Amino acid sequence: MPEPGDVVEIRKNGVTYRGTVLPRTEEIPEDVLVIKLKNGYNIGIKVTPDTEIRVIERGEPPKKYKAPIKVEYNPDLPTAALVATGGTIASRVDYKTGGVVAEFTAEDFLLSFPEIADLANLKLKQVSNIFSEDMTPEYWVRVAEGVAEEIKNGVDGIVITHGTDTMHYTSAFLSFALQNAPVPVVLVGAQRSSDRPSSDAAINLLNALNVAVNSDLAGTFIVMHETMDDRYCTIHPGTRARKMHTSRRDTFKTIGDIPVGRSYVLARAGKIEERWVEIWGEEFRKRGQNGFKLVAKANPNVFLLKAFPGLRKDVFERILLEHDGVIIEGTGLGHVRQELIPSIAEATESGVFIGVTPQPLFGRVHPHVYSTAVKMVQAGAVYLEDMLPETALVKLIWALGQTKDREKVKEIMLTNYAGEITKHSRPDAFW
Amino acid sequence: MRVIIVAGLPRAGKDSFARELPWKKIVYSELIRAIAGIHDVSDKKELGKIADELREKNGREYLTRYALAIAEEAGEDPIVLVGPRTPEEVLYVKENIPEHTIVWVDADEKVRRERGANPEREGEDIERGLLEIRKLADVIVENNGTPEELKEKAKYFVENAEYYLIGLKSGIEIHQQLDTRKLFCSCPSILRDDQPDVVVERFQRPVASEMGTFDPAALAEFKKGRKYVYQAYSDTTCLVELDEEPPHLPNDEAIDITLTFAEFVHAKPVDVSVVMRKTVIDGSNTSGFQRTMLLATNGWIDGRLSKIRIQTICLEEDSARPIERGEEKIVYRVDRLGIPLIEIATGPDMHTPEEVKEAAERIGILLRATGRVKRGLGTIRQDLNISIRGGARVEIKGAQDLDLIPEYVKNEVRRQKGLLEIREEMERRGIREENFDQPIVDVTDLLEDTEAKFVRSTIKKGGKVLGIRVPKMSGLLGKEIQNGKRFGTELSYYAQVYGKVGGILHSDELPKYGISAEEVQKIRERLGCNEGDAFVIVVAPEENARKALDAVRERLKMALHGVPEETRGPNPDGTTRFMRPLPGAARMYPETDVPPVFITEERLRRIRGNLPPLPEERYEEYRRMGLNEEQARALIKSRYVFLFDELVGEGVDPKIAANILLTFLPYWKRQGWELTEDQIRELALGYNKKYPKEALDEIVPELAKGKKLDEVLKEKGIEMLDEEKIREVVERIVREFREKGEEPRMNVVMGRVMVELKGKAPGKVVARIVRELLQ
Repeated sequence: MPEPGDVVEIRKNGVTYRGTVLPRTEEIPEDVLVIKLKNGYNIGIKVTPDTEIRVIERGEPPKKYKAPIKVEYNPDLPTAALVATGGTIASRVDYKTGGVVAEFTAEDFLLSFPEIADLANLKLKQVSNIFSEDMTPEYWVRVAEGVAEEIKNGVDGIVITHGTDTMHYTSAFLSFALQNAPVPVVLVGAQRSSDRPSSDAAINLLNALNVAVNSDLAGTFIVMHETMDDRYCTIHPGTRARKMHTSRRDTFKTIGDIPVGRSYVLARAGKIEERWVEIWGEEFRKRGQNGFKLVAKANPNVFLLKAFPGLRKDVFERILLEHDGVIIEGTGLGHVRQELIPSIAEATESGVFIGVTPQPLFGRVHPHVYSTAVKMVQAGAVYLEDMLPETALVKLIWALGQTKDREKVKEIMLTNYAGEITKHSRPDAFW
Repeated sequence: MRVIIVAGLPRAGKDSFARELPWKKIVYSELIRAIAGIHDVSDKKELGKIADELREKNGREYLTRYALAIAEEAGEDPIVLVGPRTPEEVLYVKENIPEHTIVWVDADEKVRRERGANPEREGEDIERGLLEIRKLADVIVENNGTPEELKEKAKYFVENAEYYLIGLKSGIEIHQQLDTRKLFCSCPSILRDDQPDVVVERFQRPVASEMGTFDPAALAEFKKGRKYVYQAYSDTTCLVELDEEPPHLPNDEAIDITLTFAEFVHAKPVDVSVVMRKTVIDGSNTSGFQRTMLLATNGWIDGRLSKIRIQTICLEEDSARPIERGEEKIVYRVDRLGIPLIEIATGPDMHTPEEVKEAAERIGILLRATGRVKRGLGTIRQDLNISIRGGARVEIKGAQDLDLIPEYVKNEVRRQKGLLEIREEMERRGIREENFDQPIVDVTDLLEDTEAKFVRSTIKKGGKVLGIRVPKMSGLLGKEIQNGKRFGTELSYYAQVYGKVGGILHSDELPKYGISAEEVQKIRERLGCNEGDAFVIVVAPEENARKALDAVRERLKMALHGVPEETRGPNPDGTTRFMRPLPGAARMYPETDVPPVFITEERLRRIRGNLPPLPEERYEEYRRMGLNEEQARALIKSRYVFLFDELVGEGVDPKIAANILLTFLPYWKRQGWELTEDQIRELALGYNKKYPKEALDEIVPELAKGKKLDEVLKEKGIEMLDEEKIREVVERIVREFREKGEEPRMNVVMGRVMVELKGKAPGKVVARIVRELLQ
């Protein structure tokens, strides 16, 4: 059988195909040879006993690649650290094989996004190379440590590239772990891969950089497309952002509060023509604050449990008892079926922390309106105000990483560190 | 001298073919006899040996040189050389005679054996390189049929020898929209003109290639910094068109239709088709690429002298519809984006202007025969690829009108010939590229008071008149190279495209347009023109004028290389205009969001078992229904062929249906009465049932206003009386005549009845009843 890269001539049923053999992907069965024809199309040929295959030319090993540009330090521009966690941000397409190559050098970034040279000097740091769905709390700790190191190195802002699926979990963790961060720490991703001309990667990245080095903010944020247009990006608070659409560019929304603000970078023909950052709220920390402290602790033995009609009592009970802490996404104002409440009491008595968050996402849980909630509080459940369920989960991981003391955990959970609990329920924060 | 070589394997029919050519022939075997001075060599093997000795001694092309010398001496033109055996004998002509054609007469081995071909002799000829000649052939003549068919082919060849001799080669690419839902989502494929309710703005950027380089065309587009605006409809377009959702699985129906067409043209489906992304750079696809898949290869249709290859059959998504093109932004509507398109590419196998049209027409008919293609303006688009020997491949994009295709081909042939002549003349005049590096000179002041209004008004608005000297080109800019279009027009197209100016003025056409001879003289002096020099001026804002003149200079330099490879646009008069240079090979990479399509045996069996009838089969069927030849032929080419089948299926008399579709409809169209298919159906079903045919002229104009048939009949009081009622009226009128003592003559009674029953009874029925009653 020919090897990928070989030029072959295949004769089958009176037709001769000539092309370059491609590597087999998961979707292609063993007996099919995929070749790229001279006209650019890829086709698969089922190899049967009467299929003749002739290798015309052996493939060459891939050439060594180095981005054909040079990066120069510009003393007039701020410096940003770009922390990568994985995914294809800067990529090239191999038209010979059709493969997409992800690259991670400053040169590659500048090749793909030349506008960066108008915004900042870039310092690259790769802390992991995984899909966002494979991100675990251990990785959050590594990211937090990497960011802390760059903050100590004195960069003007930090951009973290991250897959969008679990970006808001990571942003929540960093919001808690990087206490009193003196610069903006901005997470950014793309909903359309960067190997396509229509990718949102460039605009998201440029706006994230813009927020990181040109805004007065400090703290952790997510910056992504505001609408389906390539126009504005929204700055979301790190503890209140949520992925709300599987595929749209404007998937991230601020839930239960208004966004921090908006960023605009008009890039045309590789040059930045206009840029600004607009801040909407007033309660955000300002760049340059003192007292930065890294608290990168995590205990992943927690669970996020969605209450639903017919949730089995035995399963519920086992989940509560097998974890150090459980966040319940309670229905409505924060309820579970009354029948389940004794299990909560049993769990809290054995030292499990149980927090209650709003399943409707918008609004606050309330422990006094209905008797069910009153009973749940009596059983030891802690009502976590308007904290988003995923944020509460991350916060609990962080809190349990610091202490086993249930009272201390409760105190941490009920203290607002980074906007995860609001005291003021804004009428305009629901759409 | 013009030379035609006719070659082929023994018994393929080269001599029969050559015999039909009305020009002087030199047959290689006879030539060998003559040179050797022997006239009684009957042993062909012996003859071959003698020829080999001659080739050995005097060079392998010797016999051809000898033949050409004889022809030259005799002043024969064109000359036909029959039966060369070695490639060198053919190459000599290819390399030394500009106007020639190499004809290879081809017959299947089985056919040749039946005709008595001798395998041993054939082996010797093949050893001499005979089969190599096939590869050198310009034209293949297939001769597996009857002698009459070969004669027909020879006749066609003679009539079109002009095109064969200049080496015209043309291929076509046809794009046809399918009448299904979209290719990668389930949106309906309808175009809309009402206000879109979704508008999205986007930018696109090129993606680096494997070596970190960018496609120059994509980079150039990016440098323009254009914004793309996409208009959409919430109810008939979705997130897939807006590039906000991954594509769904490819539309199976569209794949089936494509495979059905593939069967019609004997093409071979691939086993597995990988959906590809073909880079597009003008924003016409929201994703920045067009999704496309190759479904079948190696098909053919009949051509005049041999088969025309159908090289590839692809299924791809249509692009978004441009609504507004500006410098800063382009507005597209995504209603068209994603409509399935079959793309069919032929080999460069057509050699005459008519053959190109015939192939396009044949493919169009076969596409319609699938029964599932869209009809109407803009649903089928043809791209023509044309070159002549010594010229270059030029693509004419988006020809819509079949009847104009031969004109496009003829004009392109003429243009390429003209450009080659210009090159020759430029060489003769000793012109070199650097001659055109002349400075751009401002001559605005010389034309401030000119009679030419457009010049004065442009200057008044702050525009400039800039010019360049064009050394030694006098007379060549005015040379006509397309019908009514000169070489100067080509320069003008470049100026328009690259400088966004209205055009240029050149010395070969001046004085004209109000510019005086005196002004021309002044311009010549300012530009420093010598005897034999030409000049070009551009009247436009300075920046544009400069870009325009830069483009003119570049085009002039290209003229030294003959014909540039270009993409050209069709003009309504059968000529073409420059659009852009021919793009490089398409950049493709796999669409990873869609799994490969496996074309199973089971699927092919199902498709083959349900093939719609071919046009030929329909023709026979229609003849059996009683249509005449002309009607049957017209119908299979008609866009209404499926409507015809439907109508007949619903009980309409075939002749009536054919009449309505083929005779009445074009007539109504000329009157400006356009009907929808539904209206035509109503009309056919009600013909002489709901209304008498005499009422058609009264009904149709009303239908054309968008009314329904029943509505019109009611308004106009048109109905169909049954025979009983008609008889009553006729009886009463006859009685009235008789009561008055008048003789009720046929014509008079008929006239009275028809006036009274206007729009209520068919004349035929009335006539029959009157006749019965009067007998």
